[in-house]
Amino acid sequence: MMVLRFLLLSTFFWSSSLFSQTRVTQEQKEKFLALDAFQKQLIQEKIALTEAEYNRFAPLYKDYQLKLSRSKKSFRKKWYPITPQKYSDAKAASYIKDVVKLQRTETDLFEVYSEKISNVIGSAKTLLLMEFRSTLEKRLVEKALELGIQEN
Amino acid sequence: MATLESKKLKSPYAPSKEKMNDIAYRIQSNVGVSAQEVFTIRQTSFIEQKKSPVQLSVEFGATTAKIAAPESVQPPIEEENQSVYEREITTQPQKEASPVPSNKYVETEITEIIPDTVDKGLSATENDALTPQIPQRPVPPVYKIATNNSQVQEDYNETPTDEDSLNESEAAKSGVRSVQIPWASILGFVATAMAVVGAWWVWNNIQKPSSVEDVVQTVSDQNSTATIIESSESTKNEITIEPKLVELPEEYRSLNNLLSQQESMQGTYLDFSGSSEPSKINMVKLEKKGMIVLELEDDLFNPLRL
Repeated sequence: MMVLRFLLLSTFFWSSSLFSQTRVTQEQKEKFLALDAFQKQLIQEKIALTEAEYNRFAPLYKDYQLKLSRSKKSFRKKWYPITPQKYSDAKAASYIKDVVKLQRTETDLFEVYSEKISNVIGSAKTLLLMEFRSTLEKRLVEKALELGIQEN
Repeated sequence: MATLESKKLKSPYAPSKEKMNDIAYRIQSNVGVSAQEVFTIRQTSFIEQKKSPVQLSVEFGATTAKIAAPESVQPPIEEENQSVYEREITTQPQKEASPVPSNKYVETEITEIIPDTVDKGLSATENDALTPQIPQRPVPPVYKIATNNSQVQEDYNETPTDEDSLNESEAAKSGVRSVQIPWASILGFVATAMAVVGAWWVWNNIQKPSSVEDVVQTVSDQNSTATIIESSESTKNEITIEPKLVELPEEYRSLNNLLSQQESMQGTYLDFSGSSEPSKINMVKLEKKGMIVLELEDDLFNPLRL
């Protein structure tokens, strides 16, 4: 009886983890693939990466972006809405402390992944990437709007 | 004649009074002195037996029934032969009888029982030799129980009355029987229910991700646009005053440059709050894919990014 109960509970938890994944239609998936191809095209044109270099660079850059986003999301979740003008001394001190912690995380990620990416594409191209990043993101958002990804 | 007191005798053993009397009479008879009692012996009366004892039945399952025992018939106690201690002395001449009371052993009623003293000094054979012959008293009769057990059989076969059956049913209804509550089973069910509830709660919390619309709505609510007040046209001639430009002092030029740089740096990051709703939706989706990173809404600290 105890074994059955354990199996039942474990099945509940496993199934919940399975259903937590994002599911999109085939059409949406194709739009995202098109967006990936657009990004590849922009980076290769601006930074002059070969096919092999891009295949090694893309996973690293994606991993770096995800980790950075995760740290910012956790900070935003804790402090949303961010209204520094309304904070008391204690709260402001706590906010500064968390900001310092976030920036330390950003610095660590930058140090680690700048070295990894530099090993793949070189330090000069890494600097070009830093300079081109803002334009790249804006172009990606425009392309996503053009493809109609926001429509579910 | 004064009797001997056992207390005056300085001997290691305390002989019985009967034996001492016997010895005394033997000595006296051999010597030719009139036999006299040395120690007074108190005779105990018979103990009264219960006339109606409670006798349990020997049959298995039978109820205890009081069987009235037949009245005990005590046989008359035979008077002790006085000849035990009274002996005719014929061989030796008798001395003049002194004015003493008769040597007959008189039977007197005694209320208290005096236990016999323990004879310590003599051996078993000596004791046997000295002890007088005790007259055999008749064996008290054995009270025979009726073999039929008619009374017992009647009680056993007695059928319960209706009143008894009613009493039993009432006892059952009132719960005289011990009711055992299965606590272990109840706790098991409670634990199972709690586990199911917990799993359902976790399932719902996991299954409810924040939708893009929610994020967009919350961000847009934060940066709500002000209502536009329509201005009424006036017929009066409006006088436009052009601001007069002055030269900025040197100490303020670095500050001006810093401000201009900050404006330019702000332009390097995506302006989520200033974007349209479709753009916001796309930004959120692209962030999930790892293509872009949305900066914080505050501009207090410059992020460090590749």
